[in-house]
Amino acid sequence: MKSALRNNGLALFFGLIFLAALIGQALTGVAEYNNQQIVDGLQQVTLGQYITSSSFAVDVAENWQSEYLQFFLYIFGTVWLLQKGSPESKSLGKQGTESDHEQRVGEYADADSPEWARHRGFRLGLYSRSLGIVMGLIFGASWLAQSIAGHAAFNERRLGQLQDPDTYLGYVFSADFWNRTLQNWQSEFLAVGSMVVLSIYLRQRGSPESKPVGSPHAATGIEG
Amino acid sequence: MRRQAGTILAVVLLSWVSSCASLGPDNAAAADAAVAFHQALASSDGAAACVLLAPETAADVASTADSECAEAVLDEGVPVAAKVESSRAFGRSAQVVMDKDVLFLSIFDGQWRITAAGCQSRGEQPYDCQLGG
Repeated sequence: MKSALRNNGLALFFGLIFLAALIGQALTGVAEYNNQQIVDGLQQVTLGQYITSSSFAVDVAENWQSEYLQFFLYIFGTVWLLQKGSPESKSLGKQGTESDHEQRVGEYADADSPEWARHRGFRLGLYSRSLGIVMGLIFGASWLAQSIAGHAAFNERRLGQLQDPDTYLGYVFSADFWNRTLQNWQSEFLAVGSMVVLSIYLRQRGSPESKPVGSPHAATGIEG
Repeated sequence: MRRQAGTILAVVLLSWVSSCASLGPDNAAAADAAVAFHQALASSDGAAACVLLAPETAADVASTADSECAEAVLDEGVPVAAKVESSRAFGRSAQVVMDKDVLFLSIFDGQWRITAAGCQSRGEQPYDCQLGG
């Protein structure tokens, strides 16, 4: 049990703080929602009603889509784009999908390689891109969910202000949808870009996200 | 173990999405409330009309006229309508467009209640309403 916890500490830690943050978002979100309901002379809602509302769904989905877009772009971008001195980059000159020998696929697979990495064909092609594809699919699904929930939340607000509701297509081209989207994208792109650049010059002893403390700034593709 | 965790996550997400009632609220029930309100006005049944108003709207009607809601609501000059042309609901709010009126509604204790009626469009500006708003 202890070793299971130790061996899965990273996933468990982030899983737990994710749940804690989501619960915190729900509790503060229902309070904020109810403040607005009071101002508008409308009935307050319960926590259960709030977490199944379009308002909560759009707030959750808009953040999810940007996080998964960030990883989707990063996973595919780092195949081809390099950054001298960054542990986030492969070694200079290694851009591209690399040889089968380096990737240990097909006849170069090891005895303990995943099943789909051993046999050439569709399965290998799909498995070779599965991480990026799944991140991309979750991004697409979250962005779609943001647009659907956002449309409902936007129109609920408009009706509360005695305005006509907008169509789904109208909402997808609206300032509200793109403002929600772009304000999340810019922060994700900044975070990734600064991680790439700051890790050239700064170190975090013991972290695989950093080069070893004594590595030169120009060393590329080395993780601590 | 991983497959079980994935299944549990999928079930939780699907349950959440399917329970998002606010994405598809009952706009037919909103239309029924609007029709019932106008039927009450048409038969001069102010008490029945006031039951269908949101609490704050009913209080506003009474305080503006300095009389009971049941009396005041009949003097608000809301044009009496009979036929629903469209009904759209999002989350806890709805708009019902009738042949001679536009009404706005919200959910109170699980029932659609009218927050504004006798409303005239002003383009992108909020509707100008004789009752509520």
